[in-house]
Amino acid sequence: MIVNFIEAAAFIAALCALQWKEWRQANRPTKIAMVTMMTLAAGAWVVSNVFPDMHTSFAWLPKPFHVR
Amino acid sequence: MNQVSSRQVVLMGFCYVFSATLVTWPGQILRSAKQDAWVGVPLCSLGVLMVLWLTDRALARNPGKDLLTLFVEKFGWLGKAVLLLYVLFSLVIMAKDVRLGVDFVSVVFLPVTPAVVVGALIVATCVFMVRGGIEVIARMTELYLPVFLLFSLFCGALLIPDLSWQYLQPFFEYGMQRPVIGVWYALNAIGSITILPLLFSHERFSFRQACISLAFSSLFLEFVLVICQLNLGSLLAGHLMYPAYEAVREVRVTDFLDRFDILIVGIWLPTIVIKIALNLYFIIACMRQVIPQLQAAQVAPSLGALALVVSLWLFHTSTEVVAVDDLWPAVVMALWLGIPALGAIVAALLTPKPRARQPKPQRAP
Repeated sequence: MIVNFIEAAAFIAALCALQWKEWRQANRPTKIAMVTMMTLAAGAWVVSNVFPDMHTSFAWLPKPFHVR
Repeated sequence: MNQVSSRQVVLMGFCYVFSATLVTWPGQILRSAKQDAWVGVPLCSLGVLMVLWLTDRALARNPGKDLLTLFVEKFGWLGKAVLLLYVLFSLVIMAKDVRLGVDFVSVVFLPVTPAVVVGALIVATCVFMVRGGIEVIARMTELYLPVFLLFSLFCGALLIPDLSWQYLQPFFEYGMQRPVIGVWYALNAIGSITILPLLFSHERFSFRQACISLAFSSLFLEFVLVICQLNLGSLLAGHLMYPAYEAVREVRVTDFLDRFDILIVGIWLPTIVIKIALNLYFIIACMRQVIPQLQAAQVAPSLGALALVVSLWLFHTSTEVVAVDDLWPAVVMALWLGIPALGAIVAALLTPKPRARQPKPQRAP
């Protein structure tokens, strides 16, 4: 679990470092969009790594046709 | 905004329909529609052609505007809500394509490289393309797609001695049941061509261009489908994850080129990247219609990162993408066909007809 958190933290830090120049050039709506998407990405990354069972295989989706 | 020519628009539509579809689609349609799968593509194309004609009429009445702009202008907050829906579902489409691309690269080229590394490389390429604007995407399409098409034709021709025509028979074994299933799965591939009127105005994209793009993409899809069917048979191809790739592996050009498939996939992969980049561009275009102050170049990296994480989180394996794709034609019908057609009809009705030119007053004799 510790490794997963470190991985997630490194991923987020790398994204932030890569976007630093963009962040300084961006206007307010762009900054809000960037923060929202980065938070969503980081959240999904942490959740998927820390709780790998919180995932669906989509097997519950109905098959539209009975193949014969 | 960057400018693209009509020819580039046609090629981009072609690439959007044809490239990433080839990874798993032939197996999926052959598994369900069996030997009658080939009927689905032309029938589906006719339905999509009607939608393209409707959207063309709406765009012709509103020169200089694409459908996304029309949605916001004519329907206000409702149009913006629809665009947010497009953002959400396009993100899922992008996630599916990234997942399939990553898996495909892992299977063919880099079996021990972690998926996140492969995915990050693909998404980073797409982000740089989108930051360069639509012109860069268009030029890459112009560069790679014709080569890929030539290679597809070349491979098909090389496989002709191995084709067994009895795999097409018996025709219509269960009446129209299997052709209808074929139409359902063909929607998955062909329906998405309506991205063109959503992104481009009538100056860049007329009905003629729509017809050319649709005709060529359907023709090539049908070509690959029939080659897979005649080479492997629908029973075997239906159980394979990548039947088109397996068919290509049958090709042997001398002993020197016994891994001819690597060359093909090396040309195929950039076209998949182009499709993902076009999807990313489309999502940003939708977001910019909702928030006009948004800076596309600045937003692209964070959106790309989100798409990568979503793709790896939502789909742990690419077989899960196939499970989603079984029902995806319902989304295609609503999002890529229903909403553009309905929106185009209402937008055309709300726009006054351009006045006929007044006759010049006659001079008195």
